[in-house]
Amino acid sequence: MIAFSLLFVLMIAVGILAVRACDVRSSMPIWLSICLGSGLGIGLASSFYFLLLNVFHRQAIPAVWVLESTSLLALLVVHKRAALSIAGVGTSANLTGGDTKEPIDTNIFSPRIISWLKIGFCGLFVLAALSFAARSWMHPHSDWDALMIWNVHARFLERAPEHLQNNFSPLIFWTHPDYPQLIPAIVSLGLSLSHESQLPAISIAFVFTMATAGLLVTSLSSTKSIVHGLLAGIILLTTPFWVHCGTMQYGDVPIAFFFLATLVCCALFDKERQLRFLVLAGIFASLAAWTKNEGLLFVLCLPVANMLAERRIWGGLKPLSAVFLGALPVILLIIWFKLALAPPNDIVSGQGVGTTTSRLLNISRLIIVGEYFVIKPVTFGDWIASPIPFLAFFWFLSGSKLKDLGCRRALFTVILMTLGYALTFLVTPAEIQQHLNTALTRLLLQLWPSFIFALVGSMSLNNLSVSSKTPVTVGQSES
Amino acid sequence: MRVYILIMFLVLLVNSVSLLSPIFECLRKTPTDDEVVVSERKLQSLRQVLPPLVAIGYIADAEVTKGNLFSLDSCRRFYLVQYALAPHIVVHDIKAHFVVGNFSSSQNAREAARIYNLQVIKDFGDGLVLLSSPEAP
Repeated sequence: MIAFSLLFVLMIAVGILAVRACDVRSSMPIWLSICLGSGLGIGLASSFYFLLLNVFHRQAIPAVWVLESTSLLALLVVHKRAALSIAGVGTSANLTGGDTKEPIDTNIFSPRIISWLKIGFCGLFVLAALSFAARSWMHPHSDWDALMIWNVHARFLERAPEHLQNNFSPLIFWTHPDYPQLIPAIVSLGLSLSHESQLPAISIAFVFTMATAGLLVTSLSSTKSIVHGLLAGIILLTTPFWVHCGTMQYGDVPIAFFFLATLVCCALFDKERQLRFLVLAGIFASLAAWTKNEGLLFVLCLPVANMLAERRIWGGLKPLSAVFLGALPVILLIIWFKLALAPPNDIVSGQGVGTTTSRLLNISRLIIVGEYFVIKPVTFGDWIASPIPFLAFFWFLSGSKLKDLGCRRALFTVILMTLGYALTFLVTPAEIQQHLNTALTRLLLQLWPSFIFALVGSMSLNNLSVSSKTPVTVGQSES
Repeated sequence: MRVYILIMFLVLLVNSVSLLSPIFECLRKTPTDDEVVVSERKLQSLRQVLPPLVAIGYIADAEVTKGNLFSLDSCRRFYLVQYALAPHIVVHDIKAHFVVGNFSSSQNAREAARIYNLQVIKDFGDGLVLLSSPEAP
């Protein structure tokens, strides 16, 4: 277990330094780099390990140690040089600095209330962490899908790395052997280093669950205001199904993290105009596709959503090629995996021109899907009282507009993804109601952090003024 | 507006109560071995005698009692066997050289061997047997 803990820290450190390396002007707050870097580190380590496993089999573990250690050293050198050059030029401008931040009226959200919000978020964060730990303690093997899909594949990879084709045999079609391997690969690495303990799977799930909340808070605090960030974090952590699904050790929470990380990096590019943020966005998008098949839909939706949000193709060829450059390595890995290893996907192979057309034109299927897509978005979070109507009302009441490009992009991505999911359910060869019952809540949860980012990020907190019309910058005290 | 914001935060706070239930459950109960651990322990000795990386057949109570092969309970027992025996591929079929018999009792195991003309290679007790099929290709 010590070996896994060391490697786990090492891979997260590599992720954080890689994010810092992309931030040439050192404008990113450290907590934002930590949240982005933890997911990036795990994702990259998983991709490297899967590749190494195919080449070196049982020798992949020493190889991954060498690779991670070398990456850490190289990134430390890059970081040191960048720090020196910034110190020489003196151009560091922190994203949280007053010069880059929108003035926010804090007549309602006074410094005292902001302090309460901070305490509330920290309390919720601790409560969610304890809740996660308690559930994992009681149910370390978690849920059936984790057992029969993600963790069983991790065992195949760990126990017989020289016979990887067994892992993707169509004979075990019920384990979905066509699913991308980010989670099984990283869990198998943990199993190898911990004598098949469940702790690695739990730790990985924990990092993704909590880092997503951290990412919402730090990203919106950086690009909008601390109130936006805290509000978004509180909304996510008070979604009981978020923490519950995190403990399930499924791919849904990690993919939600990668969706959000991609959109956050795009928003950082909008603000900082550093192309490296788009390279990072490309990496995160491709890691989403390496986590679950829904990530492939995300990779397709993102440029379209950006086009709709920006009303042009990503401000030219350069930004688009930066995203493509970032995504390319992992996308190549996915293409190789899909062509050489994975059996055909059950939904795709269950299609034909005639059957698909008849499913699409079937009114009763359309009504069923429509009903689910109207009801589930309000209830999917296992809430005692659904906050969706309140949030929607609050959004309209505050006179919010989708002026911010990052929020518009996020919203269009969520809408396109939802349409894509609806279309998938319409043409599914599986029994439609059962498919909807088993999958829709998790699919909506995948989009939930990105939706919160769009919704809260676009809230005009200026309009919440009740007495004074003079804008007050966050941090200024009210007299 | 203040009242409305207060209501919204109250709604969010109410939802956070759900986070407490796993903590209370953890404090109330001591964790016992779940069915995964029990199944792993039961199948460990069988895993050790299996030749490496062969596809294995599977038979269970439902085949003897003519019950529902696809009931939730039957499926879960099958998934647990695959999970424990990975990287062997377990196929719900008896046309394999080695067949895992996962029964609730040894009596059902013997009955299955008789009905399906299977030979018992080893009885691990507790309804778990390793069988051999003469119909294996």
